[in-house]
Amino acid sequence: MDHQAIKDLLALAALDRLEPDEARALEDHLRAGCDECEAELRELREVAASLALSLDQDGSDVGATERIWQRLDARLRATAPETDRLATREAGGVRRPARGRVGVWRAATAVMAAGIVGIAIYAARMNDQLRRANKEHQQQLASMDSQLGGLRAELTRARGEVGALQRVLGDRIRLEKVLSAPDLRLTRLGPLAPAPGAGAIVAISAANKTAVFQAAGLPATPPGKTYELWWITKEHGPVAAGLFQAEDGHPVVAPVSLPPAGEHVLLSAVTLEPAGGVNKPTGAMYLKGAPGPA
Amino acid sequence: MADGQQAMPADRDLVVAMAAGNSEALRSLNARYGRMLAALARRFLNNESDAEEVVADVLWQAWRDAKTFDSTRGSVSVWLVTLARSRAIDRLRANRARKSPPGEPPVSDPGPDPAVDLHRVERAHIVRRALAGLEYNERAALQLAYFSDLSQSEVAEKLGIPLGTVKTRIRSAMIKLRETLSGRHE
Repeated sequence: MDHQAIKDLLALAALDRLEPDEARALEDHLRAGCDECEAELRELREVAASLALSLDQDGSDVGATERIWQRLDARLRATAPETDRLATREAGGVRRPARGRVGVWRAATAVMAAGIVGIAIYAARMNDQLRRANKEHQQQLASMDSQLGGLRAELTRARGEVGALQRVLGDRIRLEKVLSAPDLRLTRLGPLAPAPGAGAIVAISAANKTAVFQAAGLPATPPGKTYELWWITKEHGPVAAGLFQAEDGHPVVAPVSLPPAGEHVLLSAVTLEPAGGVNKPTGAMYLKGAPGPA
Repeated sequence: MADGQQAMPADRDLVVAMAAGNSEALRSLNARYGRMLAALARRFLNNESDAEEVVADVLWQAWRDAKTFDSTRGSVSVWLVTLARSRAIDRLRANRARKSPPGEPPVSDPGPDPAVDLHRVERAHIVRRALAGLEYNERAALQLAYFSDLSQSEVAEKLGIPLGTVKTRIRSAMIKLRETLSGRHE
């Protein structure tokens, strides 16, 4: 076939519709190096391929693309080991990810993702541990603070007890001094109706300028109240001698005031008065007694 | 047909990426041509599932042969369409040999495919207009030759015209199409 005859075949060749003998002739012609026919065949093949575009909207449903991809994706997954081996061979024995850049990127992304996840988990654990440690420290701190508060309260209470004991000790020392004083005068107070089992004694030493009161069996001092000792003199009647508190079952020792100098004390008495005491007795009388002989 | 458009990667770039093992490029190529190739295959097979299998085969071959693709010998679209048409014909022949029952009817609700870019829709419109611009006899001969598994002689027999006339009409139709499309070709 001459060149023109071959050119006339190109359109059918582009449609892949040559008879076998025509196809061989064209092949020989092209192999001989006819660039013109080669170029024209290429153009006509583009035209032929364009015919497929005329079918583009012809009955293909929307999901076709996705279904095709699912088929391809399944093949990609199924052949991953094979491509792995190929990649290894191409890399001269050095193992590479199966699917080139995507494989590398996916592997890198997977590693990064795994790393990020790992860091996140580690951070979460650390955060959790720190939170727990912080919580434990807070609890320990609160406990220590509570203990400190308790210790402070204990110390205050102990100081109070020490103070009370010191006062009691002082009162007893004072009482002993009075009791051993050569000018000792005692006044015994007997019980009255509100406290039938109670009793008290007032020791006075003018030389020591000391008067000490000791009582036992008095009911505990009610809230907002106080016991008050009175000197009842011939000249001025009841004169306040001192205040004290009583606890159930415990004896009371308290320093009191000396009787007014130069006055004749007729009686001593204990009454229950409002807290802070009063100038003249207003409440019930619990104890009463006359001074003993000098 | 032209490769790629505007900001979209060119078909050649997708094939190069496929050669490097980028399966996303394969996915892009499927999004770009899958539906068109399926329509082409279905034209031969009249069966949606078979057509999609053919397209999967074609794209799979493209994936495996991407490293040897030579763009100087033709565009990617020609490569794919040629492969699809060839495989569809092979499948059609195989089905005939098995005397398989007729396939399911084509899906009647095409609907828009978001993966198809506007450029390709425009090109399809141009091709259809170019086809419509052909003489009826030329178009019939061309479409029968392209969209069927008929040889020249069988086309002639089908159309009831001499073999030489078939050759002439097909050649004339192809040249006219080339002239029409080349004005809009990139």
